[in-house]
Amino acid sequence: MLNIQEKKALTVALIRKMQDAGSWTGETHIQKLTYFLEEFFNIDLNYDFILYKHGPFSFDLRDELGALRADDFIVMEPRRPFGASFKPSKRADLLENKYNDLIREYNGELNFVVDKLANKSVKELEKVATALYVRNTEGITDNFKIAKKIVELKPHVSLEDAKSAAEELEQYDNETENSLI
Amino acid sequence: MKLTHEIRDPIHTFIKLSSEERKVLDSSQFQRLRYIHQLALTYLVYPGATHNRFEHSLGVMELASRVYDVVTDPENIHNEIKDKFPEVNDSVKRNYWKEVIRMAALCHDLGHIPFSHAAEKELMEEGCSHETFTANIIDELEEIWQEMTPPLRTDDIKKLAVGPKELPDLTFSDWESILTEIITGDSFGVDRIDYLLRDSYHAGVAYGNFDHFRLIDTLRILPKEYADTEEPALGIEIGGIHTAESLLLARYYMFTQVYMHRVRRIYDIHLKDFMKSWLGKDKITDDLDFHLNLTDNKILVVMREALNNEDKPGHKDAKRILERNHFKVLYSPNPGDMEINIDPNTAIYEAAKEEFGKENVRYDSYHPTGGTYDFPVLLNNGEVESSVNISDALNNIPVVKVDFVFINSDFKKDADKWLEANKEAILKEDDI
Repeated sequence: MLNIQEKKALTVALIRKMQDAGSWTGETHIQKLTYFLEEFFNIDLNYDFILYKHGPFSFDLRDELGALRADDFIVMEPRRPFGASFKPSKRADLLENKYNDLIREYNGELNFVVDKLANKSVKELEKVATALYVRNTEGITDNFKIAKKIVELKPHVSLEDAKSAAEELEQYDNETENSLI
Repeated sequence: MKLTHEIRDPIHTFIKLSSEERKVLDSSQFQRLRYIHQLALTYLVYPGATHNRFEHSLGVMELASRVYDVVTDPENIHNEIKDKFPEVNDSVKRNYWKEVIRMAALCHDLGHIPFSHAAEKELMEEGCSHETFTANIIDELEEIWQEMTPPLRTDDIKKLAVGPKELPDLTFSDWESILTEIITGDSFGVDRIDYLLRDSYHAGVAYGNFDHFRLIDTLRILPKEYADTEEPALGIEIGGIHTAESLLLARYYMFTQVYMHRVRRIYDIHLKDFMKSWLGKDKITDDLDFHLNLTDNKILVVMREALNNEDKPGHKDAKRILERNHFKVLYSPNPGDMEINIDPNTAIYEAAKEEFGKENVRYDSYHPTGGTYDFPVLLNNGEVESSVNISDALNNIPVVKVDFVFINSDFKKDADKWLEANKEAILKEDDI
């Protein structure tokens, strides 16, 4: 398991890459991308996720973002029209430099989640992250069954959209299966 | 039988409750809260802060009731989300949920261990927390819920009292999420509103006061389409933005002046050390009989015994607390230290431990939990926008954090000299 400072360094590195990719980098985006790092790539960040706001949500991660702000590693800024956006502070360099090797080690995973998810809308993120949640917690692998479960848990999601989300997840599997990530 | 009972309260003047609700109040589980201080040993710094969880819980019930009436008034529900909440236009359902939220608010703190939050994590068995205890006690009161008119579902009360974090197996609907937010929400939770007003009043620290009447009148359930989500949230009419700012500023001042006061913090640590010694190898489990007999009074009695008997566990810690001979601040990071080391407090703590011995040094680091002050605001033109796009004041409220290294007062002078001579080297060496 990563120690506290290593977790902080990886979260800051994720936020920096999201900002560089032009993402809104609101809390929901950070939550869902971190969920993928933890549950799709099995990086041991040790955040507990439950199905809550827009799909998988971690109160521990919410507190960690507060801690990163309190430590002056990230800052919050308004971003119209959405709301709060996070970005690394000047002091973040200190943390990222110290854990440069660790960040490099996970560069592939960080780039993958940023590439696939950082610029999705909250609604899109909710679907694909819930698909992963259903697959991992219910042990369901069939796309249609995953879709049905998503609709059961999130009635505002249509069956068609839920099926697309499950298929997208399968596409991620295929892309990562033979890569060096 | 008297149907309405009034209780005098220094914050809300009168708190009213029915005879059915009175049964909860009269239960031994709730009466126990008379013997749990709201602010642990803060009274050693602010002598007036001797109030308890009993009165706070009544206050939270009163405020939850008021907020519920305002935000579920059909005239106050935003057009775009009216269809999402059929409960609002059905008087039977609306009344049912009002009773649920009142009881959840009343019971939300039932599971606190002695001296409230202080040291909970280290004293309780893994998987236990005051929230899980609260849920278990609400289960125990099932008979009372069943006898109410109409009968209340225990799970509904648990959900609203404890929230989703501690009940991961239960699914929360949008309606239930909003009602939970009324009690425990980061921005406008009535738990927070009551403790700020009450703690401020008892501690004699005026910073915690704000116009909560105006705040409550302007609270609304609002859509958050600007944030690309279909999930509504608890927000505010633009007319209430300044009182919302004053609530959140009050929180900032109360944290800096009261909750994170350095002497209060070290007494929390001495208390934790005492309770650990007293428990020995044991930890507080989910045994409810044991829990319900464990109050501040019980701990103070064993602490007094430990003070008078060197052979009793926790003797030294009891002396520190009861004879008010606490450890002193050796170090707290400044901006210059933060520029050269990612965690200067830990670096100094580790070095001080080496120099003066583990038993003479204590570490403290704390920041409040919760998210940003990002909530929907209803503008005069009917549009809804994020609070962070509207209020510079909210965006500029600093994030509170305290970091301290404490030293046994017997070593304070030597330690100050040692730190002055070695600080720079410790901070630089640690961060290579």
